[in-house]
Amino acid sequence: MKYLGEKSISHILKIILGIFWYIGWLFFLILIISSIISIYRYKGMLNIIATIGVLVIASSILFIIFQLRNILGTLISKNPFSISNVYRFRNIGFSTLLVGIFILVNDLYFKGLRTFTIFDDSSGLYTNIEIYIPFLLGVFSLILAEIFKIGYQIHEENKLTI
Amino acid sequence: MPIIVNLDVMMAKRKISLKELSEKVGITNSNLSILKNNKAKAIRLSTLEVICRVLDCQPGDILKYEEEQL
Repeated sequence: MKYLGEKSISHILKIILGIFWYIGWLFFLILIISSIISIYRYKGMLNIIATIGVLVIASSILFIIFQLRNILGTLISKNPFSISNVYRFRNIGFSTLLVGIFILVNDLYFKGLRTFTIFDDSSGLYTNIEIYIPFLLGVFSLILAEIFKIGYQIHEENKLTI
Repeated sequence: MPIIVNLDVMMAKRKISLKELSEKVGITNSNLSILKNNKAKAIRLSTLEVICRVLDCQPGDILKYEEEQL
């Protein structure tokens, strides 16, 4: 099983993300139309803030998918250690943190301090960790950006060794 | 970098072109150009050995240390 290059897992993943990308745009356009209708129908500051929050989350997710597709493109061409990938991972990190902040604000508003409880329900294995996932992924992505930066420097040095 | 590559001086002394040297040394023209223009970060001892053999010189004739001016 190949991980990099043509007809590899990276290639399949890029195709799947491509489908997500187009479906995401479709949902995003529907979301924009429904947001405009919602703002006109239910006037109020809270509704506007909530709509902006949803739009920011949706556009961040689309942006993350776009960056991931570009990263996978460099994996297919077997050239992952480029400076643009460093910036892509950094962008993904900050976008994921932004999504996390919006989800946190939303959960704090509706659930209060119950947001931070991991085991929310006594019936079975129900966990409430989705609030932590964007923060963990965001930080992980920022760390990956630094690792790719080191990789890029080593790659450049190797390229300039005659 | 305070290490200066004087490959162009030696090439002029031996009256050898970049293309001819790259063919004799067995590295690409562009890589030799990187070395000649002081853009290289490092040089392999094996490469230095072949260059010295082709140009009939010592490593010191190609590489020079110069104090960096701050």
